[in-house]
Amino acid sequence: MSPGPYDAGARAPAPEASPGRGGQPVRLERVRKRYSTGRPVFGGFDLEVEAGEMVALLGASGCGKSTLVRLIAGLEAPDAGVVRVGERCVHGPVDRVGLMFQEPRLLPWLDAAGNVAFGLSDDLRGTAGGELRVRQLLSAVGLPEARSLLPHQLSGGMAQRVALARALARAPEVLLLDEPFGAVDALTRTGLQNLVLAVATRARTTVLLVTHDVEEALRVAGRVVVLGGRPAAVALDTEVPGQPPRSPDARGLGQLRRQALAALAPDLETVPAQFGLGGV
Amino acid sequence: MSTGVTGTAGSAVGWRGVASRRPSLRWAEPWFLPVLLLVAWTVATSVLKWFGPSQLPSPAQVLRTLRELIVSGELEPHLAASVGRIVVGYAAGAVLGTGLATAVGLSRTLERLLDPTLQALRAIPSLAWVPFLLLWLGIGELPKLVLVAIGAFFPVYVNAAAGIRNVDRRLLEVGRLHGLKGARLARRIVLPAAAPSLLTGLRLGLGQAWLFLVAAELIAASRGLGFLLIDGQNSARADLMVVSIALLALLGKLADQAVRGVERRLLGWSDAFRA
Repeated sequence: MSPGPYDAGARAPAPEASPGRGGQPVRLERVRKRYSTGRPVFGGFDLEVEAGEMVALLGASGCGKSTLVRLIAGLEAPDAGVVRVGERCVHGPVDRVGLMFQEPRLLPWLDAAGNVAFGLSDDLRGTAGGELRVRQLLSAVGLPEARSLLPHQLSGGMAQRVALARALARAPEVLLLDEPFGAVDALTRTGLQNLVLAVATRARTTVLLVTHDVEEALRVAGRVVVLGGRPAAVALDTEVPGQPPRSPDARGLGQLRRQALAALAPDLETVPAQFGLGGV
Repeated sequence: MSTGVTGTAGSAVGWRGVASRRPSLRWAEPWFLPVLLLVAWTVATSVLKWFGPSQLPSPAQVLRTLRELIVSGELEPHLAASVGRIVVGYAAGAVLGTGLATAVGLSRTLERLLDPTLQALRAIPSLAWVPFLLLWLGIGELPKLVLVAIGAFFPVYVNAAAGIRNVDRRLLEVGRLHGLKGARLARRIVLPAAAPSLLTGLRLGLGQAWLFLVAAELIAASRGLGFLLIDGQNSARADLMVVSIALLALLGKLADQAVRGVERRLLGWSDAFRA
């Protein structure tokens, strides 16, 4: 990582704060999921993410991205098929999978440090080691001074950074990020992306980043998967060349960007050329 | 005093706007009305003599009666009886109310089994319980304690159950994501999240407990402030009646302050809680 404009706001985590368990592969096999109303979200869906991979999952709103993340986190059960993290099947939430939601979802009665400590595994909570880890995580997300602030005293970006620290607290082997940076300002977003990259690279954590922002995906992910249709199917699945974080005009991204946009919104292809959108 | 307009997130300005610009006088504002009433009372009784002492005694007369009651040791058993009944009855009602509300809030099955019945029982007016409790439990302490407990139970139950039902599902999901279930989920997510409603219920329950206490003591007691009140009526002593009413007001206020103190400690995190 060379310092440059795209490192703006980046804060390298304290070395001790990096989770060190290594990643796990994630596998979805013939997964079917349907909510009580409407057409199935997934009808025999397959996806394989390798250990330590950083995958960006793109798709239009309502295409099933969030459902996919919730299935892997164990918050939803598939109607049929298997979700595996490592060798084991997912039957409910487990310690080694961390999830960060679209909104911070901090517990309003706990201060920032308490919220991060909430994410610690049971054996670490309340110990000196846990205390130290909370301190390091808060420094890693750039909020060393905020430990005793309550959620309502935090700005949106600060709250989301505390939420990231909470998700990292149990040193997850798989980190699921469900459109986590949509509501924060551009500078903070860049900083948080760099932070996730740094932590994930160091610990070889498997990361699944759900986003609808093609630029975000091309900047940080090693692989881009675009979902489309209902039931959802993979419309594009491709590696991204080069080391993240990438500049938007890095070599080879232009072609990928066109492919991703085309897969995201096939309708745009049919827009008459005189609107200037035909080629995107 | 922070007027906090330029402060960052978290400056404490309520929706009623910026605090008074002269904070030096604000402490006196709650005392304005009581002092005014006291002056009016004194003028009406001692100066203008609109009321005779048998109708409305003067504040000085009431104070004299109070001192006599204290010095003669007559007041203490009444006070002790009432306070004791409140403490025991309220504790029982509040604990039961919180416990049942938690159970009903966490289990749909229990909710369907219990809630409709409890909501129906709630509609029974306090005084309607008295003859029935006397019939079943005799005229000892027990029926009074039960009545106070009933009084405390319903506000606590209703508010706590509503609070628990309305806990933000997204926070529950955070709990589930961290492997919490059942009792641990209740302790670490549900109860803290429902604490504002629960404490509202505890405060309302306390008020209702005093109401039911006086109802019990008016009808069937030989001690207690409610008995002192009815005793004053029977012996045509308005000063006794005013003394008991004033003591009930004072004790009720003190108890309420105590619960408010707890509320302030537990709900310091809440953005809305800025009394």
